[in-house]
Amino acid sequence: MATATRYRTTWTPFDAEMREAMLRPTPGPIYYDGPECDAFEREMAAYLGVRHGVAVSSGTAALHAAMRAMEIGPGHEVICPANGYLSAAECVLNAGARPVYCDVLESTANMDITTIEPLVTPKTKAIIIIHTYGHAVDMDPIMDLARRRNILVIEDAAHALGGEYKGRKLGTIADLGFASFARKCVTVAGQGGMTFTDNATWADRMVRLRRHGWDRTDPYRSEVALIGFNAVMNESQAAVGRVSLSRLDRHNAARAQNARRYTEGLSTRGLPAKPFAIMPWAKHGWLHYVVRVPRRDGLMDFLAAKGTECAIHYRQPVYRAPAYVARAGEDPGPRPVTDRLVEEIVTLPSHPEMGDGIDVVLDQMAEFYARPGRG
Amino acid sequence: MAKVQRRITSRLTVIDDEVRETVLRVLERTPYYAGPETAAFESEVAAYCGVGCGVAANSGTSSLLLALLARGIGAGDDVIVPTNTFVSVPECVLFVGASLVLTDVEPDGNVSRAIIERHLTPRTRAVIPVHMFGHPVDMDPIMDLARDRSLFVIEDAAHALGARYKERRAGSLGHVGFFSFAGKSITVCGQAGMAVTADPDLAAGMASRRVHGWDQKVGNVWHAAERLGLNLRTSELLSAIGRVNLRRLDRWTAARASNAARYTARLSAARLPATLPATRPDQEPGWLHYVIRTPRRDALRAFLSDRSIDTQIHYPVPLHRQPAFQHPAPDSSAFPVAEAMAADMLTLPSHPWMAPDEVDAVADAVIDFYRG
Repeated sequence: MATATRYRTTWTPFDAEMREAMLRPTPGPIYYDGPECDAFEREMAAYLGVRHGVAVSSGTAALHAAMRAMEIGPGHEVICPANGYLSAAECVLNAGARPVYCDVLESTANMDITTIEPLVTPKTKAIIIIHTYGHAVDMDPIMDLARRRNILVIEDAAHALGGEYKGRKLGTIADLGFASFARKCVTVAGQGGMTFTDNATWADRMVRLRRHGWDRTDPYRSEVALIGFNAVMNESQAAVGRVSLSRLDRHNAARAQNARRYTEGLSTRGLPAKPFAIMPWAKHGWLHYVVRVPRRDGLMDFLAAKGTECAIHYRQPVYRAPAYVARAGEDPGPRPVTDRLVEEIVTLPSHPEMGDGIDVVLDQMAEFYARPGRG
Repeated sequence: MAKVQRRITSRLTVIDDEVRETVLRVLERTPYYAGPETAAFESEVAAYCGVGCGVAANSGTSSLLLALLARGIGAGDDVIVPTNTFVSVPECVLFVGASLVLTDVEPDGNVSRAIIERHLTPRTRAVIPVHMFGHPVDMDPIMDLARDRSLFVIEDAAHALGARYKERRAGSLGHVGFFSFAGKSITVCGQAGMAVTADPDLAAGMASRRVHGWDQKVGNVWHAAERLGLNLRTSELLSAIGRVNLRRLDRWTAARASNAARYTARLSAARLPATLPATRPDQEPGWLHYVIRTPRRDALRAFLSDRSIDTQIHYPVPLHRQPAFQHPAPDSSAFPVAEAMAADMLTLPSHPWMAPDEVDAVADAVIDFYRG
């Protein structure tokens, strides 16, 4: 009989406090655009130290709203990493712009000025930064380039909320940042997203875009000057998001502790797993603890049989997704580092409640690598 | 004259013990998305409409967008839309890159085959008839035309869940129909939408694009996007509330119909200079909105508001005059009926929790205005 899964990379906290929070809005008739959303926006903006938070229905919707507010669309090229979550390329294509995929560094799995700069053309309108796994991209050289070349920079902080770059919170360094609150993300609201910016014009546009282009103070009656959509966040989701935000620093500290324990344990056990580098400028957000391993698929099967579910972030490089290649009408050609990493990376369970489970997983890995390997 | 004691609102959103208990039950199990409540809500709405497939999304707007995407409507295609509807319809048409072709409507507020035929071009690929106020469009002639001209027909049934046309439910008459469950809609769960269709391939295409273009047989797990999608999922909590309210829908529709009959009896007896809603024999309306057309509309509206009676206008700015959509022919003279309606229609309060004496009070206030 198969062992029941004890450790997972996904972690969907939902406890009494969150349950209470989710019920809080329901006695009233307000389902969206109400006080919980307002408070979540204010609290998130205060946590990050930005002027405006705009809550929407998902991280994907956040990026879509941001691109619309920043007027990124047909005729524009947008640089995004070849190894990221699919929503960046998806939003670029949905906006009618052309995704240009940059490769990443072998040391951190992150994009970098050296992989971005050769791709800049006069048509480059924006760069979408992804702080992969929660580790900060080296932002200063990229922001310098962007200022010189008049390029907008958007930061995807979905892996990295609470992480920092040279003491500054990730998501606040570029022109605009956003995060997802889906159930696998750092801060959970079940589903939802938010953009962060100091730019009042963009914030106002995003508030209108998320609800059919209406002015918030005068919905239904007013004429709409913007082609909007419907991407409001639910009050109940915002309420859960607020609870989750209040725990973010504690959870991130637990994830960082897990990461240290893994890295030390891999080393003391002499396991052939290589963690990514942690650069001196980074306070890691640690959504995912990812290592490069030999015989990756065999290891994952072995651990799964022992009740440990690992993951691959992400199993298919986004730049090769057939649907996106077809839509863009061009094969972007190989991205060798992304292609190499995708064969070797594995995400080990490291959520805040793992505790001594880290040692259990390490022992299981040691058991696997003690067996004779094939290939 | 009946005295109105408390404000009569245009709509009411009721969260009672059953809804509250349902919320608690769902929260015990799964708070988030893509679970059994949403699957059950989809099959229940589809069964209610008499078709095989339901695809839930996070809004009615999203449902329409998914239908257009799944059918491959896009650049180079004309999509015919009546000008008197909600702004989400042109939003979706323009999102997919198609051209918006706005039409006028018949005096009942609905589009007809004759109007659609006047706007057909070789590029016309889709038509989005709207069952305005809950009165179903005369769909059979439109579906005949659709067969002849290979048109894709998407019913905007946001006003009309539960309404019937020749015994068949609104939403089941075109190739696909969609509903909204927002705070103002006919069956409320806060914020969500659903499309229903008899075409399982279309439903699968919509379900996939709802979650990043993933194949729904593989599930909500990361793999290469099979098609360009979005994230338009709804939540388990809202689906659970929607299921409770779906069971109440027929009761609510009956209450709305009874309000409508009461309004019509009282107002027609007074022989006012107002046009009351008419119902054809093939229509069994959902009566989401009781809409009269009346001279001096704005003065009447202010008069009613002073008497604590809320009214609405669906919709005050026709799409051809909305600055965002830049329709190529924003000449208002091309839309005489819609223009006249925008100037003289008024939605009287008619939600299911209105007491008969409240309906009478509103009707009497309207009568007072014209007699006064």
